[in-house]
Amino acid sequence: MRQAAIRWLTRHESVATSEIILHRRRIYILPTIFGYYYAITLMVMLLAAMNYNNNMAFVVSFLLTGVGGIAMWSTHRNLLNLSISKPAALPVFAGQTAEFHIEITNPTRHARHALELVWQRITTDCISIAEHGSNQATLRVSTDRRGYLKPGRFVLSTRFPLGLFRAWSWLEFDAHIIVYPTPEVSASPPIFATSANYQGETHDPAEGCDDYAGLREYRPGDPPRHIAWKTLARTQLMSTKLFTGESADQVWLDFDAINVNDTEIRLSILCHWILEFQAADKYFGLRLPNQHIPPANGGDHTQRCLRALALFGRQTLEN
Amino acid sequence: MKTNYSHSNTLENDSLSWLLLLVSLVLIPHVTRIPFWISLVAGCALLIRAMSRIDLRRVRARILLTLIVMITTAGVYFEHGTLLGLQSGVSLFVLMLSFKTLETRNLRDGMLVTCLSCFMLITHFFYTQSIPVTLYAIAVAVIIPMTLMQLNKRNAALSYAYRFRFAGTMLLQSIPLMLILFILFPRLSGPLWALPDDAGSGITGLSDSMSPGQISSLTQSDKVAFRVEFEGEPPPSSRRYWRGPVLWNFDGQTWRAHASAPITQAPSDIQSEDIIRYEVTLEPHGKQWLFALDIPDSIPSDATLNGDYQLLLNKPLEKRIKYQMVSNLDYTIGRDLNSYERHLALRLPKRGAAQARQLASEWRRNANSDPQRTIEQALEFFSKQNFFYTLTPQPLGRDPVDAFLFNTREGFCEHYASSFVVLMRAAGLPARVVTGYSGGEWNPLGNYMLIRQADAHAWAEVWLQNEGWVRVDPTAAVAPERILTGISSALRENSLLPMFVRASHAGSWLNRLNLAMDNVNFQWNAWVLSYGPDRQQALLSWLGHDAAQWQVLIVWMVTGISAFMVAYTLAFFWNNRITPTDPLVRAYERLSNKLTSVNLPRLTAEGPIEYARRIRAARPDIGDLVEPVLQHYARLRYSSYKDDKEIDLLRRRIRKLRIK
Repeated sequence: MRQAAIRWLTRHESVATSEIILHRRRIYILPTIFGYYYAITLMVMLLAAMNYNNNMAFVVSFLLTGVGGIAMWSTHRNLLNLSISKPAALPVFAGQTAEFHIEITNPTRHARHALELVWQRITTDCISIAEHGSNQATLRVSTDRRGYLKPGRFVLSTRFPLGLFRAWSWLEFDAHIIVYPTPEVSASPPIFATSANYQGETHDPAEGCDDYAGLREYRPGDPPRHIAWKTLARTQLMSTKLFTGESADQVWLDFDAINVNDTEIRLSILCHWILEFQAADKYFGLRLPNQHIPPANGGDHTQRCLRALALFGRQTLEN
Repeated sequence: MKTNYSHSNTLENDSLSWLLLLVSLVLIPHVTRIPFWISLVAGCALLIRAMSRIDLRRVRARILLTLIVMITTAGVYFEHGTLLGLQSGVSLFVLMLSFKTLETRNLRDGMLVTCLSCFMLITHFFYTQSIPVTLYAIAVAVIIPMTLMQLNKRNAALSYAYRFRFAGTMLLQSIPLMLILFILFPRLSGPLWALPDDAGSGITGLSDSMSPGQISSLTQSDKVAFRVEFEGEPPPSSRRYWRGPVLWNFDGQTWRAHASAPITQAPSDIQSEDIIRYEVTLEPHGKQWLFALDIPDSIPSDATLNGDYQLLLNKPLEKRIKYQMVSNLDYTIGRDLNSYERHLALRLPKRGAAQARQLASEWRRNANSDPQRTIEQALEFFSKQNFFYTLTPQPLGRDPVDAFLFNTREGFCEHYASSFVVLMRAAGLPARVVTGYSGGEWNPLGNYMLIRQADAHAWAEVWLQNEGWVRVDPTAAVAPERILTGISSALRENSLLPMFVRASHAGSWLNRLNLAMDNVNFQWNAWVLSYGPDRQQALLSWLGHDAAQWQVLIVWMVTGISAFMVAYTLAFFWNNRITPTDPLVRAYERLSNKLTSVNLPRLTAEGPIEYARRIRAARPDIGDLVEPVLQHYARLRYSSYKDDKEIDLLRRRIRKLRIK
């Protein structure tokens, strides 16, 4: 019901791919419970002024009525014309809190205060922005499962200055992050038996670092000590020296080598060992039923593997 | 993580300080009006809350507070004899608000305390609507949004100057709205429900009885009784007798008005042509009478004239009132005295005043029943014998008339009027006491006559065949200065008079200042406080509505508010428009706008130097003004290092630039 109402209200507001500027039509405002307290107080004051026909009581009652009215504009102004960047966040493991950083810019000559980022009714950050300034707010989104995560619709709201009104805007960006599986400890790494299952695989030649085996095009994340600097000087092309590793270092983490039936737990165990190997700076490859990632090391390789785990079985963003 | 920002937060110490400040400010003016112990209890409650962190969630503390509330409520009941009415209502409200601060823990409590403080703020006006109190209330009205800001600012760091500016701006912006509502909100002529009995308490003024010492105590008050604006020249002091209650009945000590003063004649038997027109602004005195110069020749609406030629309002006067009057200074009233009135006007108590009666019958014999002669002898008696006009006469004992006439011979106007009427009645002449005010001080700043309580006076009226009731002022025989110039010159003990009535202050800067202040008050009353249903009617008829009704007012009010809102909204969106973030760009835009207004708009692909050259060519007269500024801009624009001070300087130069 509530969701349907919000959808109807925001029917003209498309999911933003870049920044959102809080045009006045995007800003909604309603009195808070304290706004109603205040209104009731004013009514009682007005009744007293009328009963005693007391002009100064009228003056002060009307003055405070005016302040309440002006407060509505002031609260509206606190959001007006702010520019909100697309949220960006680093990947997290399921169960962790994803922190989306949102840059909010104030292109007007009035400072903004007590702006609250609200995700699913929880205020996750509260910031001020100087006039013609900008500030970063953090949208904290809890995660419970691996895969793509979209923060979905969240709210920028404010009660400043007087707390009598709450102005808010629903924001929805075309932003997502990848949530890796929760690492899960197992007794020993699920190693693929190299000698037994090596035939017929169509993967890249194993890349190690022991014996020089040739050059290939540089890929971001290749360790700097493997860059062929002489070739670079000669050809202006970034190349990476390839080595054939010894089989003892060429570890393959294997989905099928895990003795558990549950896919999610298998992925979690793989995740744990990827992190372990990364910490030990080991070379490792990853074998999933649908994808093989050849052995390598370094941050990029780890991320590639974790990403493969996260998206295993997930088809599209909508999933 | 989330608890940092969640909303059920307990109040910070800063917020608590603001709340306590606000509550103290709205309570302080009541200290003089409520019983002392209530102020003490309220002050203690605030102090305890300010100094300690008592936790009222603890059961023992709650029980204690409940007990204290019950005991103090009982105290209020015993103090005022009731829990209803203004006085006890304010006392209770003061107590409850200060107790509420004791259990103020979270935002909700804070907002509630602020709302209650708003209401508390207007209770002061039920006592006085003077300018200082109004200014004070408006100053506190700035604190209210500041407190609300403190409660709702979350983690924002705001300077006091910023808060003050924000709150002050909100208040200033709400003034137009306030004026629209003040002028057009439909006013009722009567209260919505019965006013509490004590709504007009603490008012000084004449009463409908007179006993020795009563008027002289009034004389020690410099409170304003009423103010009068004359059409034309005011009459001289000796003819300014402001008629009040007329007293017929004497019991040996006290004079009282006759219970059912007959309402007989309209002022039609007034004959002469010495007419004075004026307008009286009467301060509330809780009684029904209106004051007018002897003798009133017109009757204001809502009032009647009784047989004593005293103007009576339909109901006791609880609010300041303004009325037009016509008076006739040369008059004959009551030429036909009926037998009942004659009986009343001759009646004396059975006992007492033996010497006086004897003296009176002696005069009567000497005068051969000529009333004029009798009066002359009496006045002669007062002026020849050693009578003193004083504010502090000796006590008179059980037979005040004889004691005064033959022993002490010290008295104030009420002594003279009272004993004179007794003497006249004893001599067989119908006579009565008239109370009121005499004289008054001219305020040259506001061109009005100021009559204070200190000008209270009592005189006599004697009934003569063919002449009716004739005013005789025995005080004039003893202290003619009292009538000719005023009370301060007639009294030797000036120090007993209120400061601004003393003779030594006449013409001093202090007195001039006092008159100036009284003038401000008078204008305040006349233009602001007296605004009500009548003026609204006048406004509506000026706007062209004949039979003005509240619906018409509502229409005008809604129109006014809508107009304000439209204007405000336009200004609002202009004020909050998006402007370039770079201050230099904003400065340059401002400069270009100024130049555009003299038909020299900047071209799309034109740099500042080129622009300057073109301006110099087109308008050599302003070239010298504009070129250095544009060069300044260019220097800043294309330098890698941008100094904020330099940019400020450029902004100021652009602001000061006047181009025609």
